[in-house]
Amino acid sequence: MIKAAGDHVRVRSKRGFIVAVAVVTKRLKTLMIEGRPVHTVGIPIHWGFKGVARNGYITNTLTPFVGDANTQTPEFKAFLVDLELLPTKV
Amino acid sequence: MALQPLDIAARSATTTPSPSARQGFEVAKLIDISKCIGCKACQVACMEWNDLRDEVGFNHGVYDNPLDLTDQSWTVMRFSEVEPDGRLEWLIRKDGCMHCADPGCLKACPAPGAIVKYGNGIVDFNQENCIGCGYCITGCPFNIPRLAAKDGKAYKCTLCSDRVAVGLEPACVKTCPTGAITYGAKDDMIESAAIRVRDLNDRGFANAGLYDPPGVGGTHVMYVLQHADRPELYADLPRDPQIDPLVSVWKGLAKPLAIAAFAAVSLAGLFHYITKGPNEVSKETEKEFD
Repeated sequence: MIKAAGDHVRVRSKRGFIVAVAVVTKRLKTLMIEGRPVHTVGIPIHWGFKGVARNGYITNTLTPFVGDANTQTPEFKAFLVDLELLPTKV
Repeated sequence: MALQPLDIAARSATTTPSPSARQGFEVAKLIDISKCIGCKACQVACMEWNDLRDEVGFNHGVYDNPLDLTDQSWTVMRFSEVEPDGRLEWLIRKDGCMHCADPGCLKACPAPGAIVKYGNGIVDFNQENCIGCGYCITGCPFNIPRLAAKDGKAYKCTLCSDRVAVGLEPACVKTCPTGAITYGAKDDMIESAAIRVRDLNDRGFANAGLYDPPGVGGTHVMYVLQHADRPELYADLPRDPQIDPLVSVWKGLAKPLAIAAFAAVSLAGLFHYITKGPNEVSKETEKEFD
């Protein structure tokens, strides 16, 4: 689906979507879950709508609003997203 | 710039001999690619020490940031995902000036003293003498120097010649958190590379080796490669770097010929003047114009 590194993609979860640049790698292998290939998407959180570097969509748009009571940190380490290729740069 | 004139071993576009009374030793930086984690601390340290600030770039879908060397980025990490033996490897090479023993940039440079090679092997640009022609880029077998748009002068890694002159290691060496970059006398670096290569051989990298290409007389920045038999895996590191033959022709063969032709024309002109005298307008021509 994603043709090359540098493509702009829309990452969508049940809660919202963000637009990001794809870094395509072989370092994260495709998982086979019940006979279906499932890819892993990693998204850094270290930017926002303001800053000294380039601005970007906030990753927390995608994440479930759930806290872990034991560690008192957010619980959203992994969740399901869909990925679609954007025809033009955004 | 930072070292004294006594330490200059070669100077661009200069035919007078360099001072040779002082005997020093050659230094080298050894970059062990097998220990590099790609943190880019060397890039940061380089910018900090040399007071450089590159433009904030864009994500091009790769880890390389900036994408290429610039006049403000004298070193960049080049990330390559390769599968040399069917096994994925992430090779990360710190690219920058190799400080060749036979520098192509110095050979190609037409500006006297713009490029110097010090006795310790460091090749340095003196921007106050640089005329911005960009011949150093043509001469460089590793494609390292970059012209600045701001002042039209060429810039590249200095191997922190200002730090080295006062007995410090280069900034990137100082900051490297894994000890992948080490610095010292070239002989010592070759020795420590040999120990590391033996270690890598034991760990299954049968073709590990030291990258110190003889085509440019050896370099003062050397790599320990896991796959020394295939340097092109490391973001197209040249297998056998050579100075462009055109540079040798232009600076070696063509230069004396051009000087001879220039001298011959001058002499012929002088000879013609002495034997025939200056050009004079004859009376008839003068009348015609009147």
